[in-house]
Amino acid sequence: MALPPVAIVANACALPRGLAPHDDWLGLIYSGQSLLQPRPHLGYGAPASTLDPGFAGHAATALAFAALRRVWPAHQSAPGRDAMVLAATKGDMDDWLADGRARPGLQGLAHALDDMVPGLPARRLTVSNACVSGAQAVIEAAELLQDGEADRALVLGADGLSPFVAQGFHALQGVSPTGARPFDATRDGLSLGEAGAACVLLRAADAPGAPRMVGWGASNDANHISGPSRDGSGLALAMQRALAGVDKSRVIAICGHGTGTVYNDAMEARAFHAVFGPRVPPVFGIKGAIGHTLGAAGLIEVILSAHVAVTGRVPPTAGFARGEQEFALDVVHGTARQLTPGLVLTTNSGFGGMNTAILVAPGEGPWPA
Amino acid sequence: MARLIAYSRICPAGLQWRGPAGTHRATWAELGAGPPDAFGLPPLRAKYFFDEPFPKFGRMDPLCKVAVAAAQLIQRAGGFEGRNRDEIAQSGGTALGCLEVDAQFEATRRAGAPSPALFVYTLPSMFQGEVAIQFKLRGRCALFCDGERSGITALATAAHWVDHGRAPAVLAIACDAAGPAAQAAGFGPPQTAAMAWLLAANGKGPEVTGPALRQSAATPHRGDLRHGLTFMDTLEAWLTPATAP
Repeated sequence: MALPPVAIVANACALPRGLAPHDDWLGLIYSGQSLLQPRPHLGYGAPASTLDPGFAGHAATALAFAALRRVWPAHQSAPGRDAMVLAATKGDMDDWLADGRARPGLQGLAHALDDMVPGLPARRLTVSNACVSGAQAVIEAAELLQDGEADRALVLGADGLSPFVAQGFHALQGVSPTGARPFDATRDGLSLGEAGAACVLLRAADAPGAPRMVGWGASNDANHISGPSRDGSGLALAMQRALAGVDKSRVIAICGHGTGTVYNDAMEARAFHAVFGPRVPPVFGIKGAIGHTLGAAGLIEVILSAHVAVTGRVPPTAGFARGEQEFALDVVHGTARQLTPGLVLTTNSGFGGMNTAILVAPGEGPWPA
Repeated sequence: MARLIAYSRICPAGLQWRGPAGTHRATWAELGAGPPDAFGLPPLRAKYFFDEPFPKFGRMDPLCKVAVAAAQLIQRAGGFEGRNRDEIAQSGGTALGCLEVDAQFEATRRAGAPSPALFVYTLPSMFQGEVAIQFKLRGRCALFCDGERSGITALATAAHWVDHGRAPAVLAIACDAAGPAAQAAGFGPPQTAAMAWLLAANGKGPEVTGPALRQSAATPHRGDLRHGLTFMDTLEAWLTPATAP
């Protein structure tokens, strides 16, 4: 039985200030420019957030708040029927790192937002599934709506970039010395970023015209704790779950996880071919533009994919110049590409073997800016 | 309707598991373990849970150890038997998360030599990855960090997924690994413990209703709770007589 789709009726993304205006993240992505630059002690990554003094050292909270206040409370519904799903990997760790006494990470982030934004939904879930956290939060929120447990769902994803996280990835030798180049033949690692993202979901019947999530799936590789499976079978399983009952030829583009690490991007290419065969839709990725924003990444990519679905305009993949022959992927790069609006698939993978895939479709209406 | 197929717990009193393969209990003394530490359990060793050598167990962080051990008890209880492991999902809950390994990694970072071996465990969901690898479970995973409600949320979500056809079977694990970092952060008195439940749409077992569990998610009060043991204190009442000794 097909379940009713879920509409994305409002969205926001807060990035650190950099090359693009703070509030024009889509403009940045479509420009093909990259925010990535050398950062002292953190390697090559997105620039630090320019924070209000009250947020000093609390980038995740600041970015979450910046995104949240653009979509909430304008979309509140009747009391008791709202739900909030929060996603993060580490949240803000500064207080804990400083004295070890404050509530660390996710709980600290949730409490800080409660203090700043009265009336946030009491009904909430806090999801932390490594780099698929944001996408997993969207899935959990959509299912709350489909299953009649809420009438409106607020999804928030945020993570700040701390020395803890940056030096950890450096220790794993996972960080590119020159900037992430997703799906490029010369890619040599990821770049870290920080962001906050928010969206409001409704059952599609309550929001005619809005872009919608029409399928999703998740899986585990059951293969390796910190590396992707070599054959992509875990991600392919998630994609097949998301595409169940769908004519795959209707998918116009794929927003790949595209971290820029050698093994992740190769794994994704194999999964794409396993699911789509020789006709893999055009692929794009945004981590060469804004870095890997961890707990926010999946949510940002769902929102962007919805934009692509509605407009048919596929952004270029910053950092990409030349693909690998083995991949045989059509990676959109250089300039945006105009296609006919249609289905867009977005995929994420993370430590612990987690995979998600979400399929979004345009509604009849315009992009809900 | 979700049914409770198998159940396990690891706590200061020892181990307990129950499922199609029967009901078993063992105290730490019976297992030859040393006395519990200040946080409730003796150091966990693979031989308490596994019949075969499992060298990787010793390299896991304490949260993964207690969670993988709880899942192994579900295996011993016969919970996974005859099921398609590609379709077994996981829902997890932890209040303390990976706080202890965070502190250990931070110490290495401050010493100028951040440990990659520790860093990979600085995500609270890593125990689901270890469980997936060990038991070849390829279903969806969600890890909930909702403070004191985390364990209940994990169980309620598992029941919900089964009830709504989101997964035919779900392994729910509520776990906490306590230590000095949790104590310093004001979680008190922190306790290490884990519980696991295998819920499924088919099979023999008492019914577990998602809506009732979701109601229960509102009942714990901060200040009354001991992390880890909280899951048991709150949930056993809900699951009785399903899991009563």
